Amino acid sequence: MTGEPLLSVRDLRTFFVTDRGVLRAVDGVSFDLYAGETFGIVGESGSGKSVTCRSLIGLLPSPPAHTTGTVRFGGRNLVGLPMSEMQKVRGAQISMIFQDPMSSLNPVMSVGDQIAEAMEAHTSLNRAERRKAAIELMRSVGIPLAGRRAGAYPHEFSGGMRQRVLIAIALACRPKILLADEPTTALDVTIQDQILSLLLSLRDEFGMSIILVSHDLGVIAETCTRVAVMYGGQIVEMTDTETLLTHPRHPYTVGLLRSLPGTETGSRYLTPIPGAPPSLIDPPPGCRFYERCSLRTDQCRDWPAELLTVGQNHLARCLRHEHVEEIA
Amino acid sequence: MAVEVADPGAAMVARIAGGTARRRRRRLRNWPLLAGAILLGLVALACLAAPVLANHDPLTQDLLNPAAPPFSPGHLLGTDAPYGRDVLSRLLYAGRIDLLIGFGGTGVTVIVGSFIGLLAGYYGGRIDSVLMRIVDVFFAFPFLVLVLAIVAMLGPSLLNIFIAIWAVSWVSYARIIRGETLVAKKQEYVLAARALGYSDLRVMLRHILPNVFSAALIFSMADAVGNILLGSALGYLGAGVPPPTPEWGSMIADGETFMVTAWWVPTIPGLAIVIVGVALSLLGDGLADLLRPNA
Amino acid sequence: MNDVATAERPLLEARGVSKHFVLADNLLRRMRGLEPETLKAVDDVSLSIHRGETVGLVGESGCGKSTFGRLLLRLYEPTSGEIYHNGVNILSHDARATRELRTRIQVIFQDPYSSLNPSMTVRQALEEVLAVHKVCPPGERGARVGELLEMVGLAPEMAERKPHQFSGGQRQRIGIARALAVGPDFIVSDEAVSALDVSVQAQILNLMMRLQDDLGLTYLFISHNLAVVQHISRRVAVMYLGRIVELAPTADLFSEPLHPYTQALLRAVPKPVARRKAATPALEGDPPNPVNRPPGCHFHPRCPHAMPICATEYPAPRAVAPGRLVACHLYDQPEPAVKTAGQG
Repeated sequence: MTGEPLLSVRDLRTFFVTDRGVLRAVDGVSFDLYAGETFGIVGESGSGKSVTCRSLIGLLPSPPAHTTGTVRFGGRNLVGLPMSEMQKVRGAQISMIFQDPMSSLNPVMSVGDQIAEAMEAHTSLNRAERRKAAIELMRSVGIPLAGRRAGAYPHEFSGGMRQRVLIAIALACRPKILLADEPTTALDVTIQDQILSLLLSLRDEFGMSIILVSHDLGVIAETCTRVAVMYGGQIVEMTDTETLLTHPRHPYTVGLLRSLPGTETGSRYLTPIPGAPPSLIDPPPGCRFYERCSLRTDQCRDWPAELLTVGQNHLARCLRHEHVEEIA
Repeated sequence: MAVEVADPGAAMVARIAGGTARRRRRRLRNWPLLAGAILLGLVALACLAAPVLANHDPLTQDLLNPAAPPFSPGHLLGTDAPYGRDVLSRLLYAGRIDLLIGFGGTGVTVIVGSFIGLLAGYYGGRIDSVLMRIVDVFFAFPFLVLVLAIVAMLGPSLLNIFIAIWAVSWVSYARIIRGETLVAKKQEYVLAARALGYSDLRVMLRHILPNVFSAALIFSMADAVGNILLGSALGYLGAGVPPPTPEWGSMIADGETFMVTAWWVPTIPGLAIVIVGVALSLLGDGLADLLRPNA
Repeated sequence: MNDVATAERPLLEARGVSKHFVLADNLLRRMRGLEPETLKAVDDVSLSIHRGETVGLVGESGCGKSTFGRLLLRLYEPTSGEIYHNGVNILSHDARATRELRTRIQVIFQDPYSSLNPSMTVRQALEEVLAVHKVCPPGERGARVGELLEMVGLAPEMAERKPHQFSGGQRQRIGIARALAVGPDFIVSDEAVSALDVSVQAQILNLMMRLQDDLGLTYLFISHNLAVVQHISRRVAVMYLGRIVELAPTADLFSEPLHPYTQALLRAVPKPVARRKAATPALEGDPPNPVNRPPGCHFHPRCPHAMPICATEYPAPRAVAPGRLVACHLYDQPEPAVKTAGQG
C-alpha cells in the first residue's frame, strides 16, 4: 500500500430507527482504499456490508437511516455532504453497480440513452459526442454489435448483457472508485466469470479502484487484493486475501471457511457455525460473535471488542486470536 | 457482568431514538382503521337502535308542523316539508335501508366474484377465457345504466335493487381475485400443496384464497360506499325504494326544492351519506395498511 | 462410492422424458407455414436414480433442471417419455394412484420466503398433510407434528407460530418437515439451500444428510452450486438447454470432466483459494435462446473444440466408461482421444 489512500473511512455508523428500536446496521467501520486496488467486503446477510457500501455515497433515505463518521474523499467528508454536492460525486467520481440487472435499468429508455445520460449529468459533451462515447463504452464492456444495439431496450438483453450495460453506465464518467454490491450474485456461474474478468480488466484499463461486496468467498478470493470480513455490523477481520484464506485469525472467518463444502475434509458432514447472527437492534456489548464462538472465555465477555493488530497489515477483532489454530 | 463495556455507538442511539414521543406515536399509527371502525360502528348502532332512539314514527305526518327547524321541541333535527315528518326518525330508519344496501350488496358479490376469479385464475385456459369474456361484457356497460335497466325491468323495490347489484357488481371482484390468483399459484407454497396431492378445491380455498382475499376486502370498502350511493341515486331518480319508506337518497330528492327555505331537509341525509362514505374510506385505508404483508 | 451399476432396479427412472411448452401458436403463424413456437425445456432426458443415493443435477438457468424435477413430481405432464417408480409407469396412474404416489415422492423448494403458506401456522400446515393423507389417527396428529419438528431440529413449541416469525434456515427446516410428514422415500430438492447464507446452508445440508442416513431417503439434488453438489452427491448429471450432456460419479466428474461445457463450468466456479483470475473467461458468449436452440449440438457455438459435425448432428449420449455418459462428438471414436482441460 503506497501513498495516501484514495478513500478513508473512519468510525462509520449507520443506524436505522424502527418500530422495535434502533437497528445498528453498521457500527463503527473503518478502512482505507488505495488507488488501483480491489477491496473486498465479505459477510452474510445482515452483516452490514451492503449498508456500508450505500452509506459511502449517502444512498440511504435519511430518516429512517442516520449516518455518522468520516468518509474522506477528495479532501472532504462525504458524510453529511449536502445533496447537491453529493450528486456531483455520484456517477462522476464514485459510481455504484447493484445486484439485480433486471430491475436496475429503466425499461423505457434505450441502453445507449441511459449510458449517455450519465455523461449528460456530469460532463459537457454534446449529444453527438455522448452517443459516440456510449457506443465506445458498450464495446469496452464487451457488448457485441455495439453500434447497432445502442438503440435497443433493456428487455432485449440477457442478464449478463444488462449487467454489462450497468457497468458501462457506471464507468461513463471515468470514476475513481467503483462500488460493486453483489454484482454477479444474480447471474449464472459462467456469466459471473465473464463479468468478474471484465471488471478486473476495466479496473486496469480505467485506472480505478473497486470495492466489491459479496457473500461469496470464492468471488472475493479471485478478484480482491485486500478483504474485510463483516459480522454483526462490524469488521471482524481485515487483511490481504491470501493471508485471510490461509491464515485467518478470527474464529468467525475460520468457521466460515470450514463450513464451505469442497474444503476437502473428507468427512460426510460439514462443520457449520452453530447458532445464528445476533440481532442488531440491541446487540450484545463487547464481542458480537461470543455466543457462537468455540474459543470463547469469560474474559471475552467483558472485553470491548476492538480491532487488534495481529500481523502485518492484519487486523482482527478477537482476544483469543493466537489460539485460532485450535479450531482451524 | 461486572465491567461496563464501552459502547461508542450508544450516544448516537440515544440521540436518534427520540424516546417516549416516538413510542406514543407508534401505537396510533393505524388511526384510520380505528377512526373508521368507530365512526361506522356508531352510525350502524344508531340505525339499529332506531326504534329506541326515534321518538316518532317515520311515516307519521304532522301537517300542522311542517318544516320545523332543528332543535324544535320534540324534533331534534326538525321536520320535513311539506309533510311534517320527523327528520331524525326518518334518518335513522332510512339508514337501516341504506346500510343494508351497502353491505348486503357487497357481501354477496365479494363471495361470488372472488370464487369466479379463483376458478378463472387457477385453471386458466378455456375456463379463464370464457369467464373473462363474460366479465368483459359486463364491464362494457356503464354500471348505473345496467342497474337502472334491471330495476326498471323488475320494478322498484329493495329486493330488486339487491338483485341488480348482485348481477352486476361481482365482475370487479372476479378481476381482482383472478389477477392475484395468477400470481399466487406460482408461489412455491402452492406448488408444494399440489405436490402433496391436495385437491384443486383445497388448494384454491385453503391455500390461495386466504392469501389473496385482502385485495378483495379492501376494494369492498369502496364498493360498499358505491352501493350506498347507488341506492341513494336510484332513490333520487325515483327508481329506488318506493315511498313512503324513508331512504337517504329519496329524502334528498324530496327535500331538494326546499333547499333554501328548509335547508336541513335535504342536507342532513346528505351529511349522513358523507359520514358513512368517510368512515368506509378510513376503514379501507386502515385495512390496506394492516393487511399489507410484513416487509 | 462408485457402485452405480447395481443389478437392483432403480427407485426412479426417467426414459426419454420431454417437456415442450408451446409459446405462440395462432392462425397467423399457421398461415405463414410456421411451426408453433415451442420451448423445449426438457428434451429426451433419461436418468435412473437408485435407492439411497443422492444424484446431483446441475446446470445454469434455462437448462431445464427445475422443470425436470417438477416432471418427476407430476406438477407438469411430460410431452413424451415415461417415468417409472419402482418399475411402475407413473404416467399411467389413475387419480387415486397418483395421490398415493404423492406420499412416496416429495419436494423441498428453494425460496424460504415463499415455500410456506403465510396465513397458516406451522401446526396447521403439518396437520393438514397428516389429515389429507390419513397418515395417523386424528388424536395422534399433535404428537406427530412435534416429532416432525424435532426431526428437523426445531422445538415443538414453535408449531404455533406463522412462517414470518422464522428465519430463512428455520423455514427450510419446516419445509423439510412438511415433505417428511407423508413418509416419502424419494425427495426432489430444488435449489433447497441456494437462498441460504453459507453458515445456514451447512446446517441444512447436514440435516438433509442425517435424514438420509436415518430414514434411508433418496435425493435428486438440483442446484447451480457446484461445490455443494460435489459434497452431497454420489453421481452428477450436467444439463444444458434441456438435455443431459454428461453423467458421471461425482469424483470422476470433478476430477476429469469430459464434456467441454462441464469443463468450462468447473473452471468458472470461483473457489475460496487465493489465485489470480484467469484473463480469459472460462466460457465466452451468452447462453443461446432456449426457444431457438442451435442445430446439431446445442453447445457448439460456444465450444472451443467444435468440429463440423457438431453443427449438423446432435451427439447421442454414449457410455465411455461404466457409469459415465457423455453427449459429445469428441468421444465418437471407439478409442476416444479424451480431451480434458486442466483444473487450473
